[in-house]
Amino acid sequence: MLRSSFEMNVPAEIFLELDKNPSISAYAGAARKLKSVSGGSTPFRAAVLSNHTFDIGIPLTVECARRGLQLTLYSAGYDQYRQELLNSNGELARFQPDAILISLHLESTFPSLAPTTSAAARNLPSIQDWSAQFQSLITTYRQRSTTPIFIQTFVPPGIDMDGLLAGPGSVFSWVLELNATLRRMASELPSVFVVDAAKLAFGSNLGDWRDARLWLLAKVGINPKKFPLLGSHIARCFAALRRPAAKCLVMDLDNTVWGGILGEVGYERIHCADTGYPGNAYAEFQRALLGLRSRGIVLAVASKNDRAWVEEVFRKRTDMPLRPEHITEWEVHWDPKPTSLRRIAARLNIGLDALVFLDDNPTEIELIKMALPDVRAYQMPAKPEEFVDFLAKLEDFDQLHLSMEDTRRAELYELRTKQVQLAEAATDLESFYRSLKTVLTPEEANSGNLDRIVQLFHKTNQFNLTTRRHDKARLLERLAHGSEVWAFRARDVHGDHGIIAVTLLDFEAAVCKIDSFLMSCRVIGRTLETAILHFCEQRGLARGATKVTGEYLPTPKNGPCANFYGSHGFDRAGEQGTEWTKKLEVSPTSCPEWIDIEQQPEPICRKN
Amino acid sequence: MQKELKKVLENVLETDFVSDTDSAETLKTWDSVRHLSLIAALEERFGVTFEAEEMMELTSVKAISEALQKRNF
Repeated sequence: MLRSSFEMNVPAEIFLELDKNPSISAYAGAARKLKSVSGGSTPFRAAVLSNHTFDIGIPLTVECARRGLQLTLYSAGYDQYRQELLNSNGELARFQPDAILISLHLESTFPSLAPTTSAAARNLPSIQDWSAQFQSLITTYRQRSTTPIFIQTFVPPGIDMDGLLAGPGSVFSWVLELNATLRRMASELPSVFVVDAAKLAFGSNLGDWRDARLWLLAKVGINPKKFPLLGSHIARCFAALRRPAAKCLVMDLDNTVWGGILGEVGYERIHCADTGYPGNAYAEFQRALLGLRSRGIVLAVASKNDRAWVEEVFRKRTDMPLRPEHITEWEVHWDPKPTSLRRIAARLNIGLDALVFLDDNPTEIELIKMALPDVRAYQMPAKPEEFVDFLAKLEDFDQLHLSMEDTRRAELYELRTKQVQLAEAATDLESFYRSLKTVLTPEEANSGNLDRIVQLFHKTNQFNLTTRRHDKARLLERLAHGSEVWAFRARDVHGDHGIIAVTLLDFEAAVCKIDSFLMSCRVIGRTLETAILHFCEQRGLARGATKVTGEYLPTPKNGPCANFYGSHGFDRAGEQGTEWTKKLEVSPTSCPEWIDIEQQPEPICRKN
Repeated sequence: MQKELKKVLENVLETDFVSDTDSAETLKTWDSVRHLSLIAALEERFGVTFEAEEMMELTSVKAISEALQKRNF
């Protein structure tokens, strides 16, 4: 769908105006203008609980709108966060938030942690004691609600009475330790995340975060001048709850990954190594790309260049950080880049909206924006020393947590490429399947695999029959009520693919209900889904069910599994029905011969 | 200056029109919490710093205008 680059929608104009001069007054003006702009955004209900005067509503609303969220905000009364969290009938509960932000100010929480304090007074409180209480508060809340919680880290005072003393007991290091405790706590609790105000503050003049007059007059903990920055960060966190990170970064090569045009100067004279400027700037950028790769972002190349010349660079320039094995997909030819991007997305089996494209050439960027508006295309900054900063500030790769599979993703895609090559060599599908020697290992949900399970719920779009985005807390709730959550590991001759599918089974009366059945796009087309369905039906029989039901809820993306139940002997409830049913004795699904299901030994304990 | 001052108030207090005689008494949205954002917005817009005692007295267009005039606006 072509879109004129001159046509701007109203919200975009509002933000353009705001960003020219992002003052408090301008934010308030933008908020008013946004009120009269209709539609297009996702409603989001957020509750802010704080123990300081924290009137961040307006900048937060504007920054949420910038990211496609229409915010409805509930601000709890001053220092009421404990009561609100503990009260199952209070305003917080009735508000039914999509997320809760707990913003605690250091001085309000710990009166002895103030600019007036020196650690030498030995009156610093016990981090252990406070964090145990706080954790208990969160855990109690978690027992009755699955709502995601964001905990803001404490901003250290910009000044204190320690002077030059910077030993392990200092005021400043105490706050760092407190925050470290908070981070650990959040990582161990389901659906609890961190809003790192401390990190933001360190990056933007810590001293400015406290306005003495406003604190002394009205207990304003954070200087309102920092609200746009903090609000932006919080809005990013909320947005990350609602949409998954982009999966693949596609890069141009000349003047993006290395300095210079390969075709003009040859492999020896491009700048990409640490020997001096500008090579070291490009080398830093390459290392930053590897940093992204290590958290699960796949790297791909789309470059107008001679294939042999590019191969020579990667072969001969072993002094540059990027190695050929780091790149998952290559499109090096003279065809237009939109074609390259389409092919990359197709081979990775991901949508165009999961791609980010970087190029130094503004014409290429404009072309992509027009031809493939779903792709997020950015022009590189003017100078290579600005590249890393630019990459770090992109929000397209925002993730709230990281799983084992994220850290192995690129490797797993490499395995898949090898499989495709194998498929081309097999004489027919069945021989191909047999040659894989696939082993499927079902695993009950447990603390080790739960992160990956939640991630699959969140990210899987194509082979996802009901697209229910269950989070950790909700899954635990269902498990507690007798449902079964199964994760399926797959391995074959090429290696271990990790967990590639999840099913959530509910059991009621004599019916096994498949609430969710989702499978990674990496393993579509290998009849694994048949083996998984067979296993689920076996679970049904084991739990005394005589019928199994499933639903297919169509979305723009899950066409691939529209006929899944139909092709496995299920009957549809009506012509256009979403429910499919089958009697288990009549036509049970058998496991394909070429797939082995490896039963794990009895689990030591059920995940609770 | 007066026009700019009223523009800031209109934005922050989310009201369509502020007159020279308006104050925290006449405008519903001018409460104690919003007052703090208002002060911060005025300081930012005019590049001035009000004193603590002063801040809590700037509760009318007239008072703010006088405070800014004192600072050569």
